[in-house]
Amino acid sequence: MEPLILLAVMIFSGLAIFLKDLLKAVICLMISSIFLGIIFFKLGAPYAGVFEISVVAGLVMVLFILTISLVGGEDFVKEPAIPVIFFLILLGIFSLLAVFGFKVSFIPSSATGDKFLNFGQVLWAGRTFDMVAQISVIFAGVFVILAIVSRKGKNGK
Amino acid sequence: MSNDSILLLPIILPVVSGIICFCIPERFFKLRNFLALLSNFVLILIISGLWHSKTIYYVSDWFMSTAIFSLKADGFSKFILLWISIFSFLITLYAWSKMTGLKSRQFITYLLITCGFACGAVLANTLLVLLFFWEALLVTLYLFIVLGGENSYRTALKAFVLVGFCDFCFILGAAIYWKITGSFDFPAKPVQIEGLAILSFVMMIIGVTGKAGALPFHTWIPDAAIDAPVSFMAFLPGALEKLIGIYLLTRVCFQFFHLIPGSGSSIGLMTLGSLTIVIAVSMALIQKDVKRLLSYHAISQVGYMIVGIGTGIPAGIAGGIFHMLNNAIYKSALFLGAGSVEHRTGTTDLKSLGGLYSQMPLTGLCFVICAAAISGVWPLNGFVSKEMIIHGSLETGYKIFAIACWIGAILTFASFLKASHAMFFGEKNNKFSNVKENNFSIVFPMGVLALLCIGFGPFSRIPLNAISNSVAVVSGHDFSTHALNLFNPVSGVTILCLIFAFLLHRYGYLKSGKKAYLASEVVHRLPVINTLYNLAERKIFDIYEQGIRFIRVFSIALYYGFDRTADWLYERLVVESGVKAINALRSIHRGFVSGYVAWIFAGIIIIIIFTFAF
Amino acid sequence: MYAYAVFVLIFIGFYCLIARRNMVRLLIGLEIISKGICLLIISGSYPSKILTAQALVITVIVIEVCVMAIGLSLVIRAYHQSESIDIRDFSKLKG
Repeated sequence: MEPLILLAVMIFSGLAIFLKDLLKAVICLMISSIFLGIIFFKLGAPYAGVFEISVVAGLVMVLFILTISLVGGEDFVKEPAIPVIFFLILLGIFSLLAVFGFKVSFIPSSATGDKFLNFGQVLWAGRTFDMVAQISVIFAGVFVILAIVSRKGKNGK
Repeated sequence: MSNDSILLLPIILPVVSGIICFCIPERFFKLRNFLALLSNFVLILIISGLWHSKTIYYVSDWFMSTAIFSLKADGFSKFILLWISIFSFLITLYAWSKMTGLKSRQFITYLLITCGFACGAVLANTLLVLLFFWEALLVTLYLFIVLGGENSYRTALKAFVLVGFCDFCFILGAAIYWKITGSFDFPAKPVQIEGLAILSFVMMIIGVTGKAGALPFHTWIPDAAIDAPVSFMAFLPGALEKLIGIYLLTRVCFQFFHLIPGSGSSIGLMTLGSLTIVIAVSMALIQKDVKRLLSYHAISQVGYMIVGIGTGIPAGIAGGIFHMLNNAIYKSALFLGAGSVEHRTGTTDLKSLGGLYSQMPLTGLCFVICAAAISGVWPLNGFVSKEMIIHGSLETGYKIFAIACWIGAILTFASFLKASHAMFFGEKNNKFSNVKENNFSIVFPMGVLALLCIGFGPFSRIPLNAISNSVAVVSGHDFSTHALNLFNPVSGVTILCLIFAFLLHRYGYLKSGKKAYLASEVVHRLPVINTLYNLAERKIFDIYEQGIRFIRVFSIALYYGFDRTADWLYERLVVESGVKAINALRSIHRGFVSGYVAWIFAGIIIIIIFTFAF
Repeated sequence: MYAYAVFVLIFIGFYCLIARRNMVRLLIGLEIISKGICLLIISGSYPSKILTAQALVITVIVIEVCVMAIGLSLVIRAYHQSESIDIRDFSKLKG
């Protein structure tokens, strides 16, 4: 079951970059996020799955749709006319290299040890610094957006 | 060998009192002048107190280094020291009246400091100490000349460069001498002049004669005569430089090296001296300004001294040293007389002066006596010393040097007849009708010196015995027996020369319409000599001026040859190739994100390959 | 197998970044790369260290969201400046 879902993730991501209409591309991205979330559930990471679906497939898509509505569709940007075949050939070469050249067959596991019993402890006691970093990044993001979208500046308004 | 620190006093006492005099404010100028006089007088007393003891030494370590500070006062040094201090005293007395205001304070200070350093140079027993004091005299020389006026700094620079070059040659000679003998001390046995020692000897001679003022480094003295104060001219080029210059020349020739009479170096020295005599006195003949005339004579008299010492024969050497003393006496008296006239009338131009004898009798009398002494009139001191020199040069076997001395005697007497006639006799100038005699402090030094001129003629055995007791190479001779002897061929030729000069002057005076200052135009307008005079007046023969012109051309050549070329090479090679490389690298930047991301991706792939391959 | 999927996702994301000109599409490519990274973290620590991996993934997603938000606001701002969302018009840092 998992290989199919992985394949779906890959195909929808590929579609997302090749569709000409921005809105359709964003929707394909959303679907691919949902499939990734399902994989996370299957791998026994429920919290990550929930986060993935709700944040990426929800929040980020909403942001994208907001931007597309402000900026406009694909009308006036001419993409380079490289056919899709080029991409597939490159993908084939890369796959061969990856399987036989890089010997991609296993991934080394992460280094931190688990002394805790449940996820809450891990998150709040084990990775406290990460929480602090996230909070500061969120604040930074808010301030940057405020600074960028404020109307004072060159326009003088 | 006694270690006597009283030898430090002649150096320290004048320098310290000079610095104190500089610090005394202007209101107390009487106190300052009195202090200067007092320190000079004390110096004379000290030196005369040292006179009767034997050789005194003083040795000490110099600031923890391996060089030793060593002073020695043997007979010769004491003799010179005595005269330095006497002249310093007399000039200080003269400067009491002559120099006023801010210049007076600086003048007294420089004078005392120069006196101290000159004593140090005379007392030195090691080459290093000698060089230190020798070079230090350059500084006060420059400062003295700058005192003269606003534009005197050019002459001061010229003097500094010329005398500094001579001192530099002396340092080179001393360095080569150190290499030959291996130590800085004055040697006990002289070195023979051969091989490397010839170079050392030549360098040292250049240094010493240039400082004394002989050819070809003499060109600053006539310029300084106009640009510097007269008291300075009386002190330094008149008296002090000759004293210490000829002192050191004697030491170089007879204590450092062994000058053999009739050898190549002796002939060279005598040639230099003769050329100096003849050329300088010919320049002196045509001058119209009394100070310039006197300065050219100062140069020519140095020639006599060099000829005397260059003979290598005891009579000539003693004559040279005695001539040095006599020259200091009458030359400074002549400068003081010219200064006295300038103090009252404001000018020293021969054209405008005249007939001052009735108004300034004492000055005129001293001037005339000293003028006669410098020309070698019997029975004054100049006659005695010139006779000794001419005897000595005849004994070497070459008659040409004696002929040069006689030519010098003719022209000297002619030019001094002209000067005295134009200044003190003849028609009066109405502008100066209420000029009267100067006061005591100006007349007293002149009077003392004139009396010495008269005294050292008949009583020449006093200084001559002092010289023969002091200087090792002439010791044991008694020169005073035939000093004033008229009845030998040499004296006969000298008297003939004097008569010839008198006739020459009379001829020129009558020919130019009874104007005394034009009396020498006869010689001036001779065909070849006229061109030479014109060239000399345009400073063609002045090596300082030629040197300046050469340096200008040389610096332009260097600028275009090296500086611009190096710049061009740098521009072409370094800068342009750098710019091309940078432009090549710049064109890789497109400014698009995709290009940069492609580079990043390629970099990641490469890193992965390296990680998995090794 | 998961490793292969991760590598393909990363390749797709980089391809999008290199070969597309619309700025919004670039951000989509960035998003795909982040997905691949999250998959890498989760699949690499299955089954023993899954709790730590979830914490890391949550951090990555939060940061990715902030980056997207700022990127999109920059796109909007650039559109206001010069009426275009083609990155070839924003090459003033050339050279």
